[in-house]
Amino acid sequence: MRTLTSLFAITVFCAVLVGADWPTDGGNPQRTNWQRDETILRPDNVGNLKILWKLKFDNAPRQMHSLLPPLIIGQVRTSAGMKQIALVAGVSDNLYAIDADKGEILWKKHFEYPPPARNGGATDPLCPGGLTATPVIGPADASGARTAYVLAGNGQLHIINLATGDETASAVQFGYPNGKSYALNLWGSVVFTTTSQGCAGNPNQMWAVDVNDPAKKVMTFNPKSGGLWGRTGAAIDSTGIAWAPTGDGTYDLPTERYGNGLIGARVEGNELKFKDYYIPSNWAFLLKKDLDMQVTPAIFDYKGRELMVVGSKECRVYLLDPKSAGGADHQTPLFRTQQLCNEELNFAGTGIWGGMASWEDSKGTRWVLVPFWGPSHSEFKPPVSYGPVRRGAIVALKVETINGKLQLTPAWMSQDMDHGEPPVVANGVVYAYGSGEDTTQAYADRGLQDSSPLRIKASTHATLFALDAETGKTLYSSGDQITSFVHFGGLSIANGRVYLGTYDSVLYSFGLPVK
Amino acid sequence: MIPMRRFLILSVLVCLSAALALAQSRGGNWPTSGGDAQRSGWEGADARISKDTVKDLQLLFKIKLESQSKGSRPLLPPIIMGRLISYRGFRELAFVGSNADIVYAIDADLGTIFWQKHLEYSTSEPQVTATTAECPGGMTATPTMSVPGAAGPRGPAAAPPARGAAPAPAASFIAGTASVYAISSDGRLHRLNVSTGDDIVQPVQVLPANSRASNLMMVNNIIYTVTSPACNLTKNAVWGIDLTVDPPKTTSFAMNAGEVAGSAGPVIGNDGTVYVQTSARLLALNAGDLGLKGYSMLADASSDASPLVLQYKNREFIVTSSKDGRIHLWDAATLNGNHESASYQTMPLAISGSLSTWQDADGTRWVLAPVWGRSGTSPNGSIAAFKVEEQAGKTVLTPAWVSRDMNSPLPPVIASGVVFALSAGKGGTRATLYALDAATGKELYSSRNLISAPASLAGMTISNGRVYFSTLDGTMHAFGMFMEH
Repeated sequence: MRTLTSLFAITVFCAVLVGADWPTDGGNPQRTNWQRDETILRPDNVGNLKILWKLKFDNAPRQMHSLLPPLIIGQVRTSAGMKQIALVAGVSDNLYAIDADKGEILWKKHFEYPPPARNGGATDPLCPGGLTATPVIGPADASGARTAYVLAGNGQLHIINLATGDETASAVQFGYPNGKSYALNLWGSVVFTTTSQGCAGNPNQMWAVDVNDPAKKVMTFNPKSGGLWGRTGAAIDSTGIAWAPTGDGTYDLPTERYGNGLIGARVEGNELKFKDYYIPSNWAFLLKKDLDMQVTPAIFDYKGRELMVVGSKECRVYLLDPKSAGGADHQTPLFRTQQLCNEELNFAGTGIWGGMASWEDSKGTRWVLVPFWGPSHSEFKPPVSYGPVRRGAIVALKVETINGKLQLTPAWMSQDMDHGEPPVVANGVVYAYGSGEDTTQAYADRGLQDSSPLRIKASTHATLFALDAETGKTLYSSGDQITSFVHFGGLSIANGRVYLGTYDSVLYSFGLPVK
Repeated sequence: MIPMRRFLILSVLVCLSAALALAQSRGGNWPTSGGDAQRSGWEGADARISKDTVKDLQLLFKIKLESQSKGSRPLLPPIIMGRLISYRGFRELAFVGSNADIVYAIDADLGTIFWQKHLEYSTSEPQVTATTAECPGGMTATPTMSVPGAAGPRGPAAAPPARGAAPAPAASFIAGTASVYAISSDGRLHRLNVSTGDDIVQPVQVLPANSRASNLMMVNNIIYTVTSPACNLTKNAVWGIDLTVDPPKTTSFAMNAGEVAGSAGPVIGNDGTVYVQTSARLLALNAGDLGLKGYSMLADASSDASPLVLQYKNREFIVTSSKDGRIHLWDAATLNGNHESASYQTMPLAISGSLSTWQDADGTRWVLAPVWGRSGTSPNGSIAAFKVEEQAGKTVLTPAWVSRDMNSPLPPVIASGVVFALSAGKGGTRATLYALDAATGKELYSSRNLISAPASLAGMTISNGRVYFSTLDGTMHAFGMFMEH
């Protein structure tokens, strides 16, 4: 036993020494949510997960929003030596750098600005205002320093030294105040974001700015839709095209409206050029039922070919070729699954929300992981499942070629979880959580009343799960150790630790206890 | 970055365009039999229907609903709520009343039952089970929702509460969210939750039990109906049920002895005047208290007709039909007194049932009449179209076209320049739906043998690219343009 303990300690030490990163929401620009460099947590030990530390921040929630998913850099040179830093943004324009080993705050920033003239509704969860986009951290520069890009609630993009919290350049105006931006992504020196829901009267569009451009020209493309509200913003393919779902809206080519679809745009010169799009053939029905395309796609390699998956509240998954999304008519995917959930065709509390995940196992099998809210569809019967799913789950699909045609083959469906959120996957383990969030937007006696106070009151608590990535079997559950819910947060994983921030502004770090 | 000023201007333009589009149609609703306070049968512009595309009309769904095999109206024509944001999702709902005292909410996209509510018979008066053609029993009045578009003493109907806002306090029959109102055979008024079908408030007795009530019309928080003939000895009367007080207050205007009103129900003029056609008179009643404002004598009016209100060159006209098949045109401004005669009447055409009206893009006002019997080259029946025109200083109806042959056609409905007419079928023959060019009467579509039974005579509904009607076997049909699910 002593030998095993020693081996484990050495493994942890080596892993931390190498220092895996999670520098952007979703882990990488392709938003696969796959941590490829994890070595500590494995299927055979993840059952021993514990809360290593939890940290309560002085961040006031706005509406239902609170903490955004932490970004992790394994090795950061600081004045106090090499540190593993978790960078956490809070919706009230707060930014915290955490010593991930100790669970202590290294530095904190608060972005001050005059209150914007325009805000969202007083109890409207859709438009909280403040800092809503997960920051992004760039690669190490020649000196090894890491730069964080942080979009404050007034629309200013701050450029910050991760080690010190100091601003290394002037802030760039990169959006409108309280415009509800989504997770930043970084491609070369270009920062991308998306905006949605017309919050505070602002446009819904894709945004890009080249931080190396002396003029800092802000480039946009507006698909004239209800909003680009994929939780992790845009995913970027190998050619630099940023793909983002357009929420709801009309599809009308003559007026260049691309609602209820997926658009791709790339920076060429100093313009953000619209390159391609996909619109489901039943978009009008989806629009009528408010079943938005609102899931950030995941982009991955399959046997040397780049592919992309995206989903919607309708609870279907579309397999697309980024080189020609939807084919010649832009409406023909490589494959479309049956409905996995949302048999009721409800706009709230059911369907796929947020993002997806994809990973490849040691045998070369490519997997796609799909989270969903609500009951599974009665006609969806995966070969492996773990009891009835009433509140949400994770579904695993395999990418396969059958008779020369690509398809997504159901492999397993997890146990029931209270609103299955986008998972992360590492070293043969899928980490998922039920958010515990109340997602009711309409009531039998009152009709539509999407109200933060009502939803907060009815929310419970999040639960973290570790699942065997091959079978979906539950290997660990946090039970009721997490005491608050999560709204539009997310998981991060690096170097043997899984992080989750909750509505009460507490950041949890799960890992294996080290003796 | 788009300058804020430009963005705001663009936003305003987009909103205005959307508002105009909605104004031209009904915002997706068909809240009462006939579609509006005037019972025009006209939907306005429907983006899903055009003269070019209507040839692709399909039977989208049919659904058998529980009804009693008596009378010619087992199912009443649906009223449509174009968009309900319910706790079960966004829904377009068709509310259908059945003579079995059931209200159904049908998911208009899926053709499935969203909810159904049996309105229990609950009054001391025993339920009458014996039926006759004139007194079929059961629910006889098409339900209603709040109908916009008429002025009146009570002001406009309450707007739904804003997102996240608490509803303003008001009388229990109108406070809060939109509702469906139905009168069951026991004479009680039900206010039904559109999401669940539950009674929002305790039903109240507003009519004598086992009456034959005509299609309901809710305008300015007053529900109007007519009871006739005197089923279960209920007086022939026009009724106004004021929902602004608790409990709702019922007012009635009794008709003369022997006078019978049509079953299609009252219509409302622009100033809120209530018009009712009886076998002897065209009544003009004050909104609210139903005081007699004026009347005109009719010569043997159709027993099933409701009058029609139309606007022509800034004047309001009332159009009625009589048993001899004539159409009468009345100037509403002259109906304040008594015994005014029609300003114009057509030649006899064997018109049966109610009329419809619409206005084309050139401003031409049309009147459409279902003709039961020979007309032109149509031996069995047809739709006859008239234009409202000025001739020698007089407003007249000029014959424009007569459709192909039909059997006992129902009052047509109109959208996007297309007339939808239903040949009800006679004896054992089946019903057939036709789409006609509203300008020429040319046939654009026929359902051929897709309908397997004769049609109920209760009426047709059109909304959001779909035409609804039912057949005598209690099956609701929806024809429309295909939308991939």
